[in-house]
Amino acid sequence: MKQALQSKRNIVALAAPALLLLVLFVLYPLIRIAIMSFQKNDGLSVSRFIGWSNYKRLFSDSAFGMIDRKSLWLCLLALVFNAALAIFVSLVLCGIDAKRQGWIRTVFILPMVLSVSVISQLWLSIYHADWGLLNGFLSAVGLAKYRQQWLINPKTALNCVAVVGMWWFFGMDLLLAFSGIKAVPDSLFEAAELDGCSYFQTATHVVLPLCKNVCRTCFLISATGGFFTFPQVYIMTGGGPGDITMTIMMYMYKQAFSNQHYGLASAVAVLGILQMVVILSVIFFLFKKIKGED
Amino acid sequence: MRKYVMVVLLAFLTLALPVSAQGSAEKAKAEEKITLHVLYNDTDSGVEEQMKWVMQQMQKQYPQYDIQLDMSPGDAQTYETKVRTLIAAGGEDLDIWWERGGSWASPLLTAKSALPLDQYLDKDAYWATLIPSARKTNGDGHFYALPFESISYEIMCYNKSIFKQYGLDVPKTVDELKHAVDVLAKTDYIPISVGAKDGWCAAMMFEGFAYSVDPQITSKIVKGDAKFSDTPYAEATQVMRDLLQRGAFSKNVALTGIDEALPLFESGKAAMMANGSWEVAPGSMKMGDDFGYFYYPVIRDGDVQKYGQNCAGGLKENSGYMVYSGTKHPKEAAEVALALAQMSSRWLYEISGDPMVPFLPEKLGWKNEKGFAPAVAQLAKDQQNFQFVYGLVQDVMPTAAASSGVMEYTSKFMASAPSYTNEAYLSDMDKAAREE
Repeated sequence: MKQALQSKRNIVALAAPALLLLVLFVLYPLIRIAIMSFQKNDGLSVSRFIGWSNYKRLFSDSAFGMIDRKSLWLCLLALVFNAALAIFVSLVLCGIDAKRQGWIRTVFILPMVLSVSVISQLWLSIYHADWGLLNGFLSAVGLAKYRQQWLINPKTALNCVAVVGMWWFFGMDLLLAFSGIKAVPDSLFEAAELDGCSYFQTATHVVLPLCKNVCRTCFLISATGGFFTFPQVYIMTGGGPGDITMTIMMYMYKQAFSNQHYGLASAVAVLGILQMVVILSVIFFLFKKIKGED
Repeated sequence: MRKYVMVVLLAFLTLALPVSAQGSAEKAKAEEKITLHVLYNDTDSGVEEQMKWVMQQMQKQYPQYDIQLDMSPGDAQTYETKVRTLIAAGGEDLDIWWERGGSWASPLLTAKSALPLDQYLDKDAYWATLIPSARKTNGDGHFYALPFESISYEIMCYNKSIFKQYGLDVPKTVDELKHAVDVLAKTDYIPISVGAKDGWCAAMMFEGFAYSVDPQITSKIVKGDAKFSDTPYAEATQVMRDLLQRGAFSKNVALTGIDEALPLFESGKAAMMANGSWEVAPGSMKMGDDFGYFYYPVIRDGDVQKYGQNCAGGLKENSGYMVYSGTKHPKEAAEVALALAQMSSRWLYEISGDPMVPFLPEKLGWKNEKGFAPAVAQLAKDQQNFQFVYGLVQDVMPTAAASSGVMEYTSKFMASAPSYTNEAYLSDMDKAAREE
């Protein structure tokens, strides 16, 4: 095998199928989107180039700016309450006995195996302003004054949608972080214990540096998931009422399929991808600064 | 043992041969048939029942065609996206489809994706079976859609027994409507059920009230001669704001779709419902004598004599069965599309008990033996006296983006956020109307 991999021709031949798929299903669509973002395209008529018009329109549209900030907010929430919290919970979980660990892990992972449609419908019935579980619970415990129109009130709607995504995806981050921590050799824990390290010191000076790659992966997938939030918004609110819960993905979908502005939707996609590249680069950069095992 | 197995196998093969030969013959016969793919929007159980009946009739009357019906679920937007995607992908498996019309149809016609049906049908013979208002061509002199849907208007449905229980009269002015809302808001009933999440239901309410100030306002906006921020819609917006503040709607109204709003009304949990007159026939069937309807009350008391004179609605532009211009069988598809239009309308007339069809039933020999429900008969009579009729606001906007904007901002208004003022809403609506 080693001999076979020494030949460049063999390497190219082995990588070709994967490369071909990458070009066909990733690179080509990306290039196509970039081209379409400079076109006026209704999906049926012949498209024509209109220069930077789509981008100019987006940059001059205050609504788009607001929608973009909402997506960035969702990204931040996912980083904190998905990635960071999952790593913290994993650390706590590792400190308890195996039986309880199993139970708690299952509880956290359970939402992940449900379909997002089911989860969205479930949370819709929790948030419903008239007969929702949350309002019912508040009334039952004597906190009726905190009853809300959760998905309609502009102050609560976006965060309520964010909770759904976080609840759904938390298990994935937890699973990753927990597996990473479990891979740390027991001898290192024993050494830390002999050196008189506290639980916190062991976690910060031994576990986290060794799990740097896993933690970075958690942050990367959470950032992407948060910024590109779509299915739960589509099912629960459709981005509304109005644009209260509109995310960049929902806006792109609306421009393409409701308004038949495929060119404009492509420009939104390009801007979204560029922003994501910046966010991911920042995460990579910050993790590079942290000492640990690469 | 081997002997027995051989005998059984031989017997099986002997029996299977003629069956297989018969199957091949049937297959060959089926292959001779012309296959036509029909796409239809599966909006509710009523539509499913209608198409089941239609397909049974089609199989009996047109055995020479293999008609493949695809019932596509979802709202108009999802459905029309499917239509456009199928066409953009080359129109494979699409010959005929139910076009929802209005601004949805414009890009299809611009891209010449629909077949001009007057080139394949006997126009005079076809038009002779239609009511006069349905005998319409597009701007280019051709017609592309064969209408079949019930001719509909903006109305408010109400539950007669709830109104009777609280001693309420049918409101003819907005003040009377507000009084009814005040009374009902103190009960367990939802005063007005409306599917505001979908946008169009609530947009129809605004338009209904604006009509009493100037019935031509929507038409003027479409032509660019007026704005949403002008007096008629500004007054209608204030009425809607008042209704919201009086608790006329459920708390979750901005996220209530038509699929939730309709059962609320039909099950007697809501006293009124903002809807189109397409609900009159099924509503009468489901609710019996409890079902009633009224037209939008006039905003100004002095205009009460104009109540019910003008109504938004009518036959939607370019809605009905369309044939894909790239179909391999244009003549046959046009023939089947016409038959589908007539069957679909016939079901409405004969089985659903809706006389508001675009065809002339007496010319086609259709009979409604059950008779029409009183509310339906009343509506059919009323429509003959409407003085001004123009399409529904969400249907007549010049572009899909404009329609989408109108619905989106109206849905936002229904969230009743104090920060979203009447002025902000009307300004957004003006912006939406200008969307390309």
